[in-house]
Amino acid sequence: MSDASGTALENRLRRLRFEHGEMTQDALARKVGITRQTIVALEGGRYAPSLELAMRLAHVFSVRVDDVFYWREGSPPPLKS
Amino acid sequence: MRRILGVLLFSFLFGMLLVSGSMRWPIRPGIVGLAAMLLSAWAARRYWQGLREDDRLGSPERALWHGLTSYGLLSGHLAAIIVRLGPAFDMHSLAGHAMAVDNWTLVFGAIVSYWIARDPEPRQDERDAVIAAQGWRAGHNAMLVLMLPLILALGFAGKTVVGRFSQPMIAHLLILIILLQCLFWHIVQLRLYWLEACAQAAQNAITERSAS
Repeated sequence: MSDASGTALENRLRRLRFEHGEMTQDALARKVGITRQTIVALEGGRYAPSLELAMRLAHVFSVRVDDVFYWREGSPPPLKS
Repeated sequence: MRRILGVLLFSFLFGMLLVSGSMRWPIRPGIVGLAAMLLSAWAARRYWQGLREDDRLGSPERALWHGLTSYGLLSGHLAAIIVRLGPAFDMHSLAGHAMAVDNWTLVFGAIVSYWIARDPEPRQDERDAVIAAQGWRAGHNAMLVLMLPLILALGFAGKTVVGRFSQPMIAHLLILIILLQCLFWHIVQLRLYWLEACAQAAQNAITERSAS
C-alpha cells in the first residue's frame, strides 16, 4: 500500500468509467471482483494495484494497461536506494 | 482516531467493570456483557445499513470494529480477573469458576455478535490484504514487546512477586498478551482505513472548492 502522499502512478479510471456509460464505482468494482473502496483509492491515486488487477481493469474497458495507468510525471521516478 | 481509542477504552473499561464487583448485577455479569455485545452488534448493523452507499464501510472494516470491541471487552475482563485473583490465581476456586463462566459467556457473545454485525455480502480484495498484512506485522511486533518483560521477569525475578505466579496465572497472562496483540493489529488496521478516509475527504473538499 502506498503512503498518504499517494503513488507514483496516475490513472484514467474515472474518465474511462464515464466514457463507458457512466459506470458507477460499485459496478466497476463488481466487474473486477474488488471493493468500491479500492476503486475510490485507485481514482484518488492513493493505491497502486497489482499487475493482475491493473490488467483486469484494462480488460473491462478493452484497452491496454498503459492506457489506464501511467507515471505521474510522464517518466518513471528514480529508484529509492 | 479518537473514535477508535474511545471505543477501545469504553469496551476495555466495561469488561473490567463486569469483574470489579462495584456493581450489583441482578444477573451474572457475563450475561450482562453478552446482552451488551448482542445489542451493540445489532445497533451497529442497523447504523451501517442506514449509511449512504458512499459512506458505507467495507466488510473488513466492519469486522475490525467488531473485533476491536470484542477483544477490548475480553481483555478488560481478563485483565481485571488477573488483578482480582492475584499471583496465586486458582482456577478451581468459587470466584475463579464464576469468572471463567463469565469469560466463556463473553467469548460466546463475541462469536454470536460477529454474525449479527458482519457484512451480509462480504467482499474484500488485495488492498484489504495489504492493510491486514501491515496490521499483522504491527501486532507481531507488539506481542514481542509485551512478551519480553514477562520472559525477563520469569527468568530473572524469581524471588519477587513473579516467583509466586501460579501456572494458571502465567497461562492467563499469556492469553492476555495474545488478546492485546489482537487489539493492537485491529487498531493499526482501523487507523490505516481512517487515514484513507481522511485523504479521500480532503480530496473531495479540494475538488468541490475548485468546482465552485
